[in-house]
Amino acid sequence: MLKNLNSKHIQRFSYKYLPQFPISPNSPKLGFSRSQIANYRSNFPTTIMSSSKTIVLRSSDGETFEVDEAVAVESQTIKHMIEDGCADTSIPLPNVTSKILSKVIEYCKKHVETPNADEKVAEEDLKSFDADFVKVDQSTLFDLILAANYLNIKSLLDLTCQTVADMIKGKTPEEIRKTFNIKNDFTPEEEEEVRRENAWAFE
Amino acid sequence: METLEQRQSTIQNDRSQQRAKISFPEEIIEEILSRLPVKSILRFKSVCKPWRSLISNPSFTKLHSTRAAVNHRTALFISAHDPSTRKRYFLSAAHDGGSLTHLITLDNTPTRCDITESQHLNGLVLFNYGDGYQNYAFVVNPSTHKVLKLPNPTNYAIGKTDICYFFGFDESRNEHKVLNITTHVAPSVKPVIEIMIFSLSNYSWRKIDVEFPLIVSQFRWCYGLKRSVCVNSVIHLMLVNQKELLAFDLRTEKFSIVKICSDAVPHRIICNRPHLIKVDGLLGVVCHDQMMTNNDVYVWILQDYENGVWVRETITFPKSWSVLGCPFPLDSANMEEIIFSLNKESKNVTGVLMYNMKSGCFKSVQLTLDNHPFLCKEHVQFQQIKWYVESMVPL
Repeated sequence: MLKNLNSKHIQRFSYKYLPQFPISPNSPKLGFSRSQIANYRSNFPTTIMSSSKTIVLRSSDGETFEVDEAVAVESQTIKHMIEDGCADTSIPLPNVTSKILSKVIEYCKKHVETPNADEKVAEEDLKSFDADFVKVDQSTLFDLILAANYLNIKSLLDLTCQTVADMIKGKTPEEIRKTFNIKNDFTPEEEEEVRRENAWAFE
Repeated sequence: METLEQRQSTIQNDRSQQRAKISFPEEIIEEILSRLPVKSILRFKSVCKPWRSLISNPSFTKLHSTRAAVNHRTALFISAHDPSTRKRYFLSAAHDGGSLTHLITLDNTPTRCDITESQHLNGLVLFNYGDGYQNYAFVVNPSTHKVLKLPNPTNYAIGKTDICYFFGFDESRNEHKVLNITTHVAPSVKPVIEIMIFSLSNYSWRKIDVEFPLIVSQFRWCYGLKRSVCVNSVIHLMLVNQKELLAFDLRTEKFSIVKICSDAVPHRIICNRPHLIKVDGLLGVVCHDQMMTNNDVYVWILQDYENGVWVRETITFPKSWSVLGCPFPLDSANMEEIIFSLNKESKNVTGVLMYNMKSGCFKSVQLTLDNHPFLCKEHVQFQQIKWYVESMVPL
């Protein structure tokens, strides 16, 4: 917004829009040059703007999502992109579909909104949200893991990996191969030998 | 108009595309596997070769142990002995009780003068027993059901020998080590002390030449049942004067002496039996007076190692100590509980008393011997109980 103002506007509006602007004895009372403002902006981005800065995320299938910056930076990947200045218009996320991205955003929103689990009630509420969040079909769950890994959201990765771990705990190796689409590259003799090493685990 | 074959092939393509999507990079497989119990992980070694090499990697072992400690994947290790069949059993049970699971059976163990001792460190348990003439040591991983019998450290003997084994974990090299101190006592010769170290990485004993800070004049310079505690890569054992601890640093491989707070060990030495235990990662000395008139037991914890600051905690038993079966502390769990010795309550049930230091409450955990085909319920005696963390350390 400030980019479009010329120095006259800035002179007139600066005392309204920049209340905490530090005034040095040498600078003129109301007039701040555009370069001074740009300099201030780069050093104190949060005090200049009001707290509701939004980021636009673009999924692999072209859908856009506008989210609060505070929610978006739950993802370390997005956080680094913003810091590196790649977030001008929108952030493209070619590895995440809109279906998964909307779920991820829902997760991040809830975790940002909830105050840091000091109160028992808030902690319980978050736990039950997380429990319901992962009640999805396996394909969605796996996609959420990949998204959490790509976007580098540690808490979501922990939650989803733990869910998958609990799901596969009691399975046989054959069931595991089906679940993860893995080809068995052991010969029957090799597989028998590996089984024999820890036979008790198969009981 | 689509033909039937065209439609079927489209469906198949979609399905195979979907299937092709679900392939995780190795770090995600590692994340998932590290959250599983050891039994499942061992089973999944036979899924495919990449999974087997991932699981066998020492870095995975480390990740899994860290996760296990954080998520309280822990259990109890119990050793039992049947004098009638001369067999020794290693068993495990869940932390809150339940039926005992058999891990390993050792055959043909001597029964005379059966003194056993065990120590747990980072997932492994060192178990040793002696009959006064021979002393045997085993390293057990209760999670993987594997046991390693340590070879005899010394091949020769001058006169009478007293062989002691102590367990340690060297944090600088991230490996388990066993310290062996053998005392040779022969008539008209000064006692000779031999010190050897066994490291699990190369499965062999190594003799070290180090100054022993004690003047050994008698056979028993180490107090009591030779229990040791390893804290910060330093092994501590109590000396016979009960006022000092002998400390061996695994990193520098040197001995030193640590003084116990003088209040910790009261004057009535005859009735007093100080025990070393590890509480919340710190060294602790538990004193319980066997003729005590009150039901209190004191635990002196070395809070500040550098400055020698000992802090006292009091545990008050709810009933008279002898009524409870004379429990003495054997181990600590989860940084806040102290586990006391086992008490056979009936043919099938053995009770373990546990004390929670934070809440100050006792609870009795029942361990049951369900139909084990080889364990004779009447004769079996339970000896050691240790709390352990799940780990995949290979033996």
